[in-house]
Amino acid sequence: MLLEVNDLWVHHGRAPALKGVSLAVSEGSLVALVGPNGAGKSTLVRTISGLKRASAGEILFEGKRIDRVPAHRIVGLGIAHVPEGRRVFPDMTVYENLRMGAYRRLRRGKLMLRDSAFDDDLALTYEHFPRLKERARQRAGSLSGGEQQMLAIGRALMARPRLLLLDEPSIGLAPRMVQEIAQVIAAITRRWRVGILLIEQNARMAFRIAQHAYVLETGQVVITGATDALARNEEVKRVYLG
Amino acid sequence: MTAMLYGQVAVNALMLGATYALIAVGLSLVFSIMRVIQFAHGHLYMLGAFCVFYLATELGVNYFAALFIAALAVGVLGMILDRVFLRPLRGQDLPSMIVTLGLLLLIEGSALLAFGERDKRFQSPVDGAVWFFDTIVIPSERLMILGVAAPLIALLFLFVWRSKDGQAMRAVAQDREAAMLQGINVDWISALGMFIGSALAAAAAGLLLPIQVLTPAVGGPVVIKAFMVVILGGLGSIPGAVVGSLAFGALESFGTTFFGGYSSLAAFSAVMLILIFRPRGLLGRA
Ligand SMILES: Nc1ncnc2c1ncn2[C@@H]1O[C@H](COP(=O)(O)OP(=O)(O)O)[C@@H](O)[C@H]1O
Ligand SMILES: [Mg+2]
Repeated sequence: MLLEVNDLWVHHGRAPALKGVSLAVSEGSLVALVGPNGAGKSTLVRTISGLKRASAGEILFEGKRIDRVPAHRIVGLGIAHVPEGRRVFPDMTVYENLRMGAYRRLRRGKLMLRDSAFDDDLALTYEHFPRLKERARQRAGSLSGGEQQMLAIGRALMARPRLLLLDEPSIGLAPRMVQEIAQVIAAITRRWRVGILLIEQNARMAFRIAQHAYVLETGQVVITGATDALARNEEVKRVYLG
Repeated sequence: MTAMLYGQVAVNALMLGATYALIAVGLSLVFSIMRVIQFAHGHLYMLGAFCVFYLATELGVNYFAALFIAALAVGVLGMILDRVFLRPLRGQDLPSMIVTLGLLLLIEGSALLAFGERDKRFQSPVDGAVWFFDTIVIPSERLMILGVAAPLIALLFLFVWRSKDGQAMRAVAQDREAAMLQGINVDWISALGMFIGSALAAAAAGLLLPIQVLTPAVGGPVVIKAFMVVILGGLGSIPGAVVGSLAFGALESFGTTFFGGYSSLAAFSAVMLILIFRPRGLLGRA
């Protein structure tokens, strides 16, 4: 299994945000995680990438415990996290943001020079997001919301991850842009064979491209299953697809 | 006659501006990375000055070698202060600032005990003066100060905009968590920022040593001026710190010529006035 979360508990101060969550993502699969605001979705991925510490339970990546690994080491293991709200570096150019995605793989002093492995990854990323290439010299802060989301995903791809954590990539985007992002996410799993954990408020979109889904409510997984089965579940239909 | 006057005032302004920039850039760098105003910055400057003073006068070390050693030593001290006092409080901005205030008192007290309160004067390593266009005469030591400070600032810019760690510093300044997600070790970057900031302050102190009187009390006014300059340029912006320094150097230099003893008052008033119309500073982002 690529990612395995077992009976995970996480607290914000005294209040529990996750109460014994278990979940798994296999190699190259696309798993959706849906649920209402405040359910604990972001807390889960923030704990996986080390920004937050678990109070109990375990997280395994490719069979190894990672729940005590500091945040800056996580990306080196093969996990890239596209955080909620995109979080691109606003005063850097698009190109510089993409370089930061490859930060860990670049040697000291190498950032200013060209590096063929870096150029190959850059070309691949530009293939998915041609618009980023056009905007390479522009300040990231000046991009539209959709472009910033593409940049955030592109930056994560530059780390060559085997697991990609996407926290609400479609939020605040125009319907056409949501379609575009959904297509790219589906293409990424196929093309790069990277496992994806996709957090979405837009369950309709997530269910269309994911094979498996979890529904999280107030810190607990309430329903899980294949997306085509979930899409026929009356309760799920009413609350999330209605 | 007037050409000579203006020429000298302009060179003086540049020299002051460049040394202020060395000091202010460190304060701004540390702030941008850690969101902490390092109040003891001026006191690290003071330690740098004493370091150069004793190395050169007591141990007979060459002045430029003394500058280098002082910068290195104070830089390492900055790193140690970060490791011991600031790292345990990482992310807690207010307690961190109180700690740097405490360090300020601690360093000043220790320096008084160690070095005494008597004024110290330092023999300039270069003497004479240089003539430009047969009209402007500039003391050599001022040219030396400018000649060392300007390349140091250029090096810093090259580092911040072109090196891997420099880019990481900019990333941490813009979004600490997003930086961690790219694999940047924020503790290392903070330590490095403290090293660079403190070392540059010590270098500035050593450079100004020949034209200033040294006592353990010089740290306070230095940090106030540097803070002023950083606010003027835009808090957290490195180019802002340089522009603010040059502007403040010019205000002070022209102020001394035309307002005499009231120059600092004139310069501070001018800064206040600028900030009323542009609260985010000259190059600060809203
Ligand atoms: N930094 C924080 N401090 C305190 N409580 C938090 C913090 N972040 C999230 N929470 C709380 O934890 C719960 C889960 O939040 P979150 O993981 O952001 O949910 P979701 O991403 O599903 O909207 C919410 O009740 C929220 O109020
Ligand atoms: Mg969330």
